[in-house]
Amino acid sequence: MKRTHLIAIALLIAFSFLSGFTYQDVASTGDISNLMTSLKLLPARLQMAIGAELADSSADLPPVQTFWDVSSYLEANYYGENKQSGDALCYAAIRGMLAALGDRYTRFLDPEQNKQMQEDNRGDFEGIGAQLEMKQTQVTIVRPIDPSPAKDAGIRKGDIILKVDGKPVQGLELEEVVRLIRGPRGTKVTLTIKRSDVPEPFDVEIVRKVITSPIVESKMEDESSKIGYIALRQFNEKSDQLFDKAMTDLESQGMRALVLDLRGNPGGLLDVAIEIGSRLIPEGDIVVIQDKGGRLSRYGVEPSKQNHRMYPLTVLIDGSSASASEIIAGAIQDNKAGTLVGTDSFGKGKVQTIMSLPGGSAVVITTAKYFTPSMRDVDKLKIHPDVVVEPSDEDIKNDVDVQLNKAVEILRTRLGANKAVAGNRADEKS
Amino acid sequence: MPADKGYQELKKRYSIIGTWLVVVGLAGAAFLAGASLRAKQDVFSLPQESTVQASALIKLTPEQMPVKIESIAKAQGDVRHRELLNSVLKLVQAHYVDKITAAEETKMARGAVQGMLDSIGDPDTRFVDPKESKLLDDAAAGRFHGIGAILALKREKQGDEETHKLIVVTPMPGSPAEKAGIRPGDVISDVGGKWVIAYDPGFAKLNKAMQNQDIDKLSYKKGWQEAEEKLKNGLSISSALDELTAKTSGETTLRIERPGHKEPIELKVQYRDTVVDPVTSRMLDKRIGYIRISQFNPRAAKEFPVELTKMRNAGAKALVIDLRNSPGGLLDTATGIAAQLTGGGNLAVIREQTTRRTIRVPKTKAIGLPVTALINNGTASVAELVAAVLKESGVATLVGTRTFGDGLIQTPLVLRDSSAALITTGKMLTPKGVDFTGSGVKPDKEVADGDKDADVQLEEARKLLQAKLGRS
Repeated sequence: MKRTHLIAIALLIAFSFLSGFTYQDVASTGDISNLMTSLKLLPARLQMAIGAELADSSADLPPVQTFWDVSSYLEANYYGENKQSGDALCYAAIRGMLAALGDRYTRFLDPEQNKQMQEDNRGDFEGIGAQLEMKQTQVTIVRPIDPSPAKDAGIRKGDIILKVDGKPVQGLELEEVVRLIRGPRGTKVTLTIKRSDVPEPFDVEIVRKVITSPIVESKMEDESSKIGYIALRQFNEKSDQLFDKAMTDLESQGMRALVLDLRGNPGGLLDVAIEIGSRLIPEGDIVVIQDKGGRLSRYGVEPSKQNHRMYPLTVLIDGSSASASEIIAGAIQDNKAGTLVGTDSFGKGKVQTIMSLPGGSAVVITTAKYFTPSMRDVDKLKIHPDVVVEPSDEDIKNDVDVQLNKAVEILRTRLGANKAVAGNRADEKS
Repeated sequence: MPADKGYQELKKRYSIIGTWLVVVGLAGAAFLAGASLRAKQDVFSLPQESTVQASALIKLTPEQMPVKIESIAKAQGDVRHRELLNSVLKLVQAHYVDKITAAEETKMARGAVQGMLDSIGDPDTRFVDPKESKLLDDAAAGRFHGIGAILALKREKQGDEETHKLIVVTPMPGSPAEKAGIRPGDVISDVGGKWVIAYDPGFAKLNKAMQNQDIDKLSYKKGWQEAEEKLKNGLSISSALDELTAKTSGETTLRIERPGHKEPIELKVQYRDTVVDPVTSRMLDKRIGYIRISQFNPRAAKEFPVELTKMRNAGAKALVIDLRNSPGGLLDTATGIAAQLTGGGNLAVIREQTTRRTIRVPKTKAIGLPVTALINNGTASVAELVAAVLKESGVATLVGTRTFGDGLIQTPLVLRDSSAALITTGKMLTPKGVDFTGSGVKPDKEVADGDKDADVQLEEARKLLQAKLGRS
């Protein structure tokens, strides 16, 4: 046989193999656009499939039996002063087991952590009113709620908490730090703060109050150009209703363009994100969800939710915009429905479900992943703003919101340009 | 012939069809192979980095023989804990976005054991993955890799801050570490130009800033940046251990902090395999024999009596037992060897969770020769016990420096996938009940370590024995 024949046959076989390998993705969704994604993932998947085949399968270790054997042995034979209580050992084992999955969002909540999580979800709590996050092992202020005791005491975004009532917080879980800061209204808490432009850490004493975390804040940011501003702080059951109310309010003042602020918004309910996204994107997809088993579902704009006009739009994001915030930002970017301003988002492309366990503890499990309509993996790539604006130390000190200023400036330019171009038929549509 | 020609034509055509059938068949098979390989995994699940880290050889070898997990007594724990873990696993299997394969379950089981043991906060009670399990087996058999040194993790607490130091228990004889001049007690601070991360430098700087309020802004900022840089270019302790105890070729530069030296020392060390002869002997002169025990493994148990007889037959009237740089090994081997020198009796007191027992063998005749034992900072674990037994029984005089001070007993619990849980199950005390953990065993005659060219400790031992022989 001629060499060219051999090459042709080899190519045919390789092509057949690849078709077989990718067949499932396209066939299961009927969407040919998944083919490109599938091909992009091919090298990694092949490596994984072959790796799995080669892995020693004779040495399986059943987790429950192994835990039981080792903990029994420890109970009967461990010699030392640091003997842990059975509960603590069991929780540590569960945490270790979940850590092995390599997914930082799948985690165990012991009864105390679970109780606090539930308090957080209720919305009202007694504390100082500051949103915290863990940044490179530092407990950092995302922003003080306005109004709140934290804001009144001069706590700023980016402040690092070193101690709470004299107790160092290094090495503690974020939830433990929150537990230390919270307490009954009227009582005092002292935070030792490190601020980037102050050389020495300093103490701030704050009196706790009942805090109601705001969901939506809005104002007419630019009266002359009629540029409205809506800050969405979280996605919960009330968010879409409050968003509508803010829109109606701004429209009554003659709004011509909108700044949506998703900075510091950690996310929330997925369907609420889709509903609010529908109000901001004329048409197209909002998110692609991959559930267990790998099935991909595309969620598009819901026309029934489009109860307002569409406006020229800028969206503010930062490193604390996560999850549902990234869904909306990504969808707006992919559908070219607005301009994103700020800094890279957090990068959380996974959906969790909290499941209760006997004895008051719970487990948080990643049950789905999501991608932007163009199949960008938010978890790895984050959302890059179209216009990067990073506030300087000076800006933070002087309380100047350069990101918001930029977003407003972009809208002003666009409104101006529209006026000039569409001057002739200005009355036709509006 | 036309008929023949037609037959040839037909044959050719069939062979083409046949070839195509084979090709199409192969293509189909390839399609199915691709599809089935693909079906075994989840869509969009890219490889995830494992959080179960390989740690590496820290102690030479456990003091007890391995226990198989299948053989241990069951049902000692709280059933609610098993049920809770079971519930979590079931929920994860049912709902976690990626499929949980058998390999993943094995990883989860290892993670559970690791999480549980780490929470105890005892550096010797830890999970050992199959790779390190192999290193432990090799070490027990006298085969060492990397720089050929026994390393230990030392925790120190200063204020709010905990530091972890990688210290050398001892270099093994003939190892690259010994050739490079590494000594017991050396602290390895850098490997290959990378700082071994011993603490969180940023936090340390912050603490200093808080204690010392008069710090100028510029130097503070500079310090902060340096700390960040340090962490970024650092090497985790487990990666450092991996390199130092597992590599079989290449070389590296170590930065070492040595007690008594102000300046750090830089040493070039090779990575290669070292095979250790656990027991060696020679005659120092016509009357004095010398036996060195580098490791207490089963081979040492077999070879010690042979070497002892060899020394007697060569006319030894006195004996130097060299326990320097001997990191230990099996408890049974150690008590067996000690009994041959002391003639039996009490050999150790073992404290376990609920019991305290004495290891004793029937008293027979002691060795009947004057003995001097050499000890130093690298004499650890069961080697220290042997030194203490020789001293307490009056059989030997100890010469050298104070021993390492580790009498804790580890038992490996071997899991079904050949990984293991290394668990502290007891503590050795001397036959008289003295606890030497932490304090070490003190020599009768203190002589500091010499150098390569002048073994002053051995000279001293010999002098002591010559004096005794001279008198008798």
